[in-house]
Amino acid sequence: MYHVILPFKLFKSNKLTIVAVLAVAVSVFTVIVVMTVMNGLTVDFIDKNHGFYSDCIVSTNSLVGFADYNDFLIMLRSQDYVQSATPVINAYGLVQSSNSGKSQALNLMGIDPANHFKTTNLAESLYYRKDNPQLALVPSYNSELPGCVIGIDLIEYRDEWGNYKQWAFLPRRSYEITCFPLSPRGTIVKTGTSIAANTKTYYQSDNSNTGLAKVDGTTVYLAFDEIQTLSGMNIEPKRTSAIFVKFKKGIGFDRGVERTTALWNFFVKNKGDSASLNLFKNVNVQDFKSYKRETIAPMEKERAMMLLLFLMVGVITIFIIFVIFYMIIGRKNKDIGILKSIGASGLGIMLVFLRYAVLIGIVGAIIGTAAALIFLDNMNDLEGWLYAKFGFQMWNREIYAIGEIPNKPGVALPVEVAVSAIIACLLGAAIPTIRAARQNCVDILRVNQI
Amino acid sequence: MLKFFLALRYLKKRKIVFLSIAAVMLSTSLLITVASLFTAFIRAIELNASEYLGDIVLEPTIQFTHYDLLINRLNANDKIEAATPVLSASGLIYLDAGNVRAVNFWGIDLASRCRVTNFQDNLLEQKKIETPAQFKSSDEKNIPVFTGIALLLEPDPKTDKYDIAKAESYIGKKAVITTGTTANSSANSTAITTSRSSAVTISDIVFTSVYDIDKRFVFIPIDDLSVLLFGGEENRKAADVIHIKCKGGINPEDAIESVRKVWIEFVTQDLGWPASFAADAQIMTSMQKQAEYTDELRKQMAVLLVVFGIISAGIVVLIFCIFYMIVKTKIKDLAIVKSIGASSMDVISIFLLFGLFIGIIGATGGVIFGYLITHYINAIEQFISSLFGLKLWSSSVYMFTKIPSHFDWFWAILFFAAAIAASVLGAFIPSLIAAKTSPVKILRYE
Repeated sequence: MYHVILPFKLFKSNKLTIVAVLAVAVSVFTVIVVMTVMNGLTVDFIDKNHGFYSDCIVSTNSLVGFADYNDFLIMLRSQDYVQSATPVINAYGLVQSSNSGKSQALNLMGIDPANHFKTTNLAESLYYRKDNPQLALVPSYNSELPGCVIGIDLIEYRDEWGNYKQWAFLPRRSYEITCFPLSPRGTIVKTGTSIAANTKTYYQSDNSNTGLAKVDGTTVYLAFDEIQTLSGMNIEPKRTSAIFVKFKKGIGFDRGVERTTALWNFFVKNKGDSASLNLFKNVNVQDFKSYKRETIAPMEKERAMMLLLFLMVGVITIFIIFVIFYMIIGRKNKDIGILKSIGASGLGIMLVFLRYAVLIGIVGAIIGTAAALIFLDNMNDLEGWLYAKFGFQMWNREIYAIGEIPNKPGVALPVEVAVSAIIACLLGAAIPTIRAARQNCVDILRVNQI
Repeated sequence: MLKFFLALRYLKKRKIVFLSIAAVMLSTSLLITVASLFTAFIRAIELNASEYLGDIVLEPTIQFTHYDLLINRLNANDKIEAATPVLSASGLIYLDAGNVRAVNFWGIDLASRCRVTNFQDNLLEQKKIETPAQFKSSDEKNIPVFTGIALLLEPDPKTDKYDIAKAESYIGKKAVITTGTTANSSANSTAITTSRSSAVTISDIVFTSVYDIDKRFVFIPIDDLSVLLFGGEENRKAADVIHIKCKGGINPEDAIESVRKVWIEFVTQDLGWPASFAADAQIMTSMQKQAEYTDELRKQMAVLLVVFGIISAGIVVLIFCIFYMIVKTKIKDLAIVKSIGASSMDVISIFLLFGLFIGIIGATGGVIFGYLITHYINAIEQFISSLFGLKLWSSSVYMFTKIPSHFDWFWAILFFAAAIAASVLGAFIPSLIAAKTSPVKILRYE
């Protein structure tokens, strides 16, 4: 019974307990707050990419594209694991605003609205056609004109809170878009005897705010057929740059990508006599993370490095607990001797101090977690107050494409950190506890020691 | 003397002291390394801006003509070393089969550009020669251009290095560019029309070590770009930005007013514009131009240092605990010291000196360790990369091909002092406890 009562007694009576509990609480607080923000930013970024690029992408890096995509789309859509699939053309184009006269070299994305909005979350990024995304490429002021959706950062400024000023009615803006038309061999299609680029005027039909800064600041969306003509991909064999695939619920990425790869290999094998076989050579089947690895991987790497750095917090906690226990056990030498002399075993002594360590860990973790949750809950308000009062913003929203600072730690992170804190306390207490358990009551209670 | 002797003796005899020294060293080096690398990164951005844009940037709100007259006026100013015009445009470049890139064209006057910036040092081929750099084309019909290295090829994903030989093989190759200028307009605005394109020859490769510049820019003679944009209008001499280099010893900020004066004279006298037009022009140093971004980076550094500062505060607690432990175990010694006449102040001094020694040793170790990490950060990064196959730094993400690794002595001295202060602070309460020791109470059991 003593090893149940004594830990509580030690916890209540020892002043050093406060230092230990505070050390654990501060560590838990820091780790939960920083990891919540880092995780939030990373997960949000990954989710947005997932929504934008769908689950799986069959694509080629070459701007020439690959042919026979309609046949493969039919095959894909007949698969039991595929929810939807849509062709996408990626090209570079020169976009000149007729209003300002300014031109920018941008990414052009050709989409098929009927299938694209079923496959990706792009519809959610629209402003004027959110309720009717099928008409996203039809200007509301004249449905006869060819429409284009413009990335929000290309036309509107983000204010200090990350918001955009949206017009109540769709403004009539037109853009001259220029593309190099490429033949299936990759050469520029000649107009007569001279080399020329294709230009056509498009009218803004909506704007898109995906939350992905690189996309919203560099992308103009056009109808698939339109860009196919502009970029020369309509020249037989007709081509596309990519096919976005959405899997049915319950189909894992790995399994889905594996099945799509097998299907693509089967498709290519059956097209052995096709004239466009060369164009299949550079086609890859990847999940969205691999497809966008150049942007997702650095964020994940930074998160991992931050986690490694915060392991140091854990190590410091272990050392603090170690030193505190070393001190406490040193001072409780005689008590240990008395306990042993009346029959307490080494294991019993160990249990007393390990339970004491667990108690420190639990109380420290509860205080740290509670403080972190309260802080996170009020973090955005606090930032707002700091900005209003002192002009300080954690991230300038005019520069960084984030809205509110992520403040949802979920359940797993606080639990993991709290459990880690308790384990750190146990580790810190382990060596002094073993030393205490090994002590001999005769040595301790000898007269010349008293 | 006794205080000094005892403090040194504790330092030598107590093994646990090494734990506090290691803790101080670790946190000092961590803070110094983070601050140094961040500061070096910010400095690299500022330095790069002045190397790439000159000391001062004159950017009117609209394009202007007769830049040659403005350049002459600027060159005549006693604060200005040289000035160079830039005409910019967006466009597309077709490099080879299926390889089209979106680019920014910079129309430049190469001779004056080389006087204002170290542009020639960034040219793969022409940096090796003594004679001034020039645009060269084997085919007179083709316009000679310089292209950024990352436009032609990506750095190796494992080493982040460019295949220079492969890049050089592009020199002399032909490409096609367009600035979107419509060649023939159609009556039907919804039909496809054609835009003017031009054949170009890659005359040299630009490698500035700044990924974004190397990836996006194509440099072209300013007169050729002018013809591409505006047709055959001769002597138009259009530009939209002027980059200026100040004479040696002149602070760019002090030269801004002189530049503004020259600009207003040029606009009102040579162009005949109203003076209000001239006032709208943005004239600032190249460093000021980067200020919005670098200020944000400084803020991120401050936030990171606060977080690491909180972690380091744990070390103060650790030192406190270790000292507390030492005081408790040395209580009898202290009682003896007091019994032979030492005052409470002497006892406090012993432990504060002890804390000071730990602080000095730990902080010195931290500065040395921080210096080594900062100085060899690229080698360390390469080692990690070769050991784990994990490339931590890549120019496409972090702008520069190498981690800027300038050791910042300001931060080093600041954190050195802070570490010593923290060590003394950690020792303060235990030293008070030690000072309160009553020799009678402690020694009576003996």
